[in-house]
Amino acid sequence: MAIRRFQYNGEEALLLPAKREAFVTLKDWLNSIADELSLPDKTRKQLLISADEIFTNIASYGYPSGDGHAKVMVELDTENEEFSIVFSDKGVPYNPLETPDPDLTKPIEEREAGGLGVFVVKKMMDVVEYRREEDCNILTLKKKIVRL
Amino acid sequence: MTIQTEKNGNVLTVIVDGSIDTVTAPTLEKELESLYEGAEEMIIDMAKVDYVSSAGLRVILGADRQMNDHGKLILRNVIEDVKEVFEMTGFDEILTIE
Repeated sequence: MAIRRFQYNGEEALLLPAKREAFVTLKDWLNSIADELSLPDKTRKQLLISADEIFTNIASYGYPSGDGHAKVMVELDTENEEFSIVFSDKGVPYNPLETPDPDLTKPIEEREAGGLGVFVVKKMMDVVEYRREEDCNILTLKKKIVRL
Repeated sequence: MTIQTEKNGNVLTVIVDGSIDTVTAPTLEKELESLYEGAEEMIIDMAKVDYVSSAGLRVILGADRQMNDHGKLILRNVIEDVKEVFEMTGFDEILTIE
């Protein structure tokens, strides 16, 4: 398996303050990788939306008592054309896969708040994996690039 | 993201250009809040919106609720990829999409 890891300014990962505004930096980076790989536009948007949802969760709930960071690593399995984005943070333990899906049959007023973003990620990505390692939440998103 | 507004009588058209994501959604929310009063019909022209994340979905839903009090909200020129997100989340059943 040949894995290519994308560097950000010579670093193995992008380190971001866990603030929603910082998504701009991640978005620009993912867009530049998408351009380099000539990703289909739909895949590019799905990756951006999914990254947005995960990063927003970390920024909004990961560090209730103060400032923190999120680390983002981007890899490509060049043989299978499978794209991975790995988020790690030292915030409160949170496995988004345990968040129940919103009940789409209920009127929107009666639905539980939250869970919508994670639901969208699960729909758009092929694989969403969570693990807790030492004191880190590690969430991996995988998406096979389908070129038409 | 840029936001442009056009007023024609009681019909207000909001032209959004760019993605409605975690960073831009609060800006759109603020802009829309300043526009509800006096508008009987609000049209959001989505032709140049390339994607919407859940932060954007919430702002659009909020706008729909606000406008429902005294008028209506219409989403116009929604591109296919964005429509798919509305369908995936059941928002297509709630919102008026033309």
